[in-house]
Amino acid sequence: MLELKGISLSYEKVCILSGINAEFKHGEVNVITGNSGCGKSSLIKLINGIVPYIDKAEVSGDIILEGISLQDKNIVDRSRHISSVFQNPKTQFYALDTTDEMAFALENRGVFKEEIFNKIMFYSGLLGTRNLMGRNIFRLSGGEKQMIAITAVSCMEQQVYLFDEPSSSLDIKAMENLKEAILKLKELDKIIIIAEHRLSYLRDIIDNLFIIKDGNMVKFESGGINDDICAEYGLRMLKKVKKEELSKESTSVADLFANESKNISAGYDKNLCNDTDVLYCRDFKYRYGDHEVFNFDIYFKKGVHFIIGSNGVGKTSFIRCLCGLSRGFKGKIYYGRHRVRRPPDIISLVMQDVNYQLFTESVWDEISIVSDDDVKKESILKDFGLSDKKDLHPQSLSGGEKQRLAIALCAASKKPVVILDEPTSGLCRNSMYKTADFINAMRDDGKTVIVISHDYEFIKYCRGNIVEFKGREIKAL
Amino acid sequence: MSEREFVNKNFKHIINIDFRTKLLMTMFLSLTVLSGKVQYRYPIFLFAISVVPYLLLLDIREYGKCIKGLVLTSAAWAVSEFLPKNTDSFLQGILYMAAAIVIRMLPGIMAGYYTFISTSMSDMTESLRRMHMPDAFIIPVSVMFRFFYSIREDYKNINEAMKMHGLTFIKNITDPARILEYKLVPLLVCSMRTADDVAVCAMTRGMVPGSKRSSISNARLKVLDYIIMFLFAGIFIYFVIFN
Repeated sequence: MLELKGISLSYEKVCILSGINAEFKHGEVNVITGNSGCGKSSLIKLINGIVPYIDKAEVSGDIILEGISLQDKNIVDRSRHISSVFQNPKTQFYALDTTDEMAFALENRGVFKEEIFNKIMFYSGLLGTRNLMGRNIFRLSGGEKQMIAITAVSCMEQQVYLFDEPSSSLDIKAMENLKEAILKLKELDKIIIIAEHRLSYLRDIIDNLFIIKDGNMVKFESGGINDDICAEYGLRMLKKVKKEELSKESTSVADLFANESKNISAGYDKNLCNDTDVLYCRDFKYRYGDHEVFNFDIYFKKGVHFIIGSNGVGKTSFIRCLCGLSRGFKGKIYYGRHRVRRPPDIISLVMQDVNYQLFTESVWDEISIVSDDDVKKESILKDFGLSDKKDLHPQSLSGGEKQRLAIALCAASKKPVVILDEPTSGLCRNSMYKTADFINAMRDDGKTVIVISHDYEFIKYCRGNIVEFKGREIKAL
Repeated sequence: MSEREFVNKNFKHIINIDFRTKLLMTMFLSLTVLSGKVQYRYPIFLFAISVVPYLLLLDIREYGKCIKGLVLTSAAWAVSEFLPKNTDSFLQGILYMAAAIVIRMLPGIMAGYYTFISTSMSDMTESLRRMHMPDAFIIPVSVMFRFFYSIREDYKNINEAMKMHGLTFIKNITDPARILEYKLVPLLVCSMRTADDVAVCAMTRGMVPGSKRSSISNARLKVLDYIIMFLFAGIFIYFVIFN
């Protein structure tokens, strides 16, 4: 049993957690949730020792594992009992290939080679990752990386498993795999603690739900968890939003190999050919190696369009082709009947990792890249809640603020087309609603907004046309 | 399942040599091609040895780089062999310089590239350990090894983001320093974040410098390794030292 006794935590005199008590038992799935910045990640870090050994904070109280206090043990000592799976699949690897990664922790303990292979074999079989062995980690998808991370920590055969927002970059199928893996660990009678915004995929397996609000933590047992609680605490929905629930009339399915009946329109009536603000993507053909990813034409009218479809179907490739980032791509793009030769002239893009697209020394300089209109810039920063951060360095903002800034740049820019790649990954309910409002404001401003998203709750709230990408991958299933 | 099935599926190598051999080969090869003497006395031999790294790239399926390398080297060789010498033409001077860089430096760089890309991290750390390197050396090198990949990925993403913002080199030709800054600032921020995260991750998996580790690697020197080592050492001694 892992116990928290009177845990208080503050960063630079700002109190995050005050006097938290909790017990986590073997064989139970414990989920900690709450709004962004409520301290759920801090609590996870407190248990594995990142706080206070790496992230400096004032901590009081005690953490007790099987009767032994962990408080004065450092990260490495704690790693003998505790495994951690982090949020960002990109940076939680030490090795380059998957087998090395799984062996890494065991090598650190000096386990013999044969035994290492035995353990890897057992856990990769149990968690269904054996087909990923011996691969280059950098070429795996986000979901596959997360599964490798879980297998790697499982090989250590620890008591406690901590997950810090493990689903933030996963699609729906990958979240199902994650859930299965968590269930397997539960069957092995481990202590499982998950900090998470998205509750829907965990709904069936939660034993205890802990909600952190204003520094206090409230516990709900599995029977007492319902949507009323979620509404009360402003949490993401418990119920899974199904694809069928998304508004029907505006849904269109884009067969990525529609060679014959070529034109797919997203919210666009072909009879309205006089409409001048249509984004028309012609001859979109893309191959990856021997595999044809798509070959189709598509129209986008002004408004919001969500592109859905399972991972690997070609959504990101499509966006890259549309933005002119794919070398050797021959498709043509028309906007308002004019051929667009340099797509970046009409398209603003918000990448999944916004850290890549903040260049300058201040928020004001950043927004000045896209617009010279001072009045407009001021008003947009105000709308996005960034006007008091105008002189700060963009890289010093919090994750959510960076993303708001990236979207603000699109809103301030004169470019008529905006593309967002997974804008809600890792967002709590309030931030998600805000993002949706920003997107709707851009639509009202007359822009064409294209959003790639797996987050049906967000799509349902935002309302827009839905384009489901279906390619050969799907047909094969 | 046998151990064999865990072998890296990305790189089914034809040439299976140890990291130490590759390191030594890279060292002697770059020293040999760097030497000016060889170029004047044995131009054909120099050409032969400077294409070796590109041919090795075939083993890690970098066909594009291999072809580019071969074409470049051939062109550079042609320039330094067949263009009339002793002219005052500025353009020709530049051409000679470019050719010298391609012939004398690029092979060493590509051999180093091959060395790192074709070795798995466990093989590399095990090889270094067998060379009796201290952890204070092995850990930073292995982290750099990983960094090489993430920085490459980060750099590509930053370039694309800049392109989308219209911050291209051509448009800002008057202010190249600014473009450099735009590239470097996000790159540094991303790298620092990666460094922190990777270090934390390694600690939560129990890595302590100086502790006794085991390894899944089979790294050891075989006959082929010794042959290659002596071959390159011999080439270096014969052509560079004795001539």
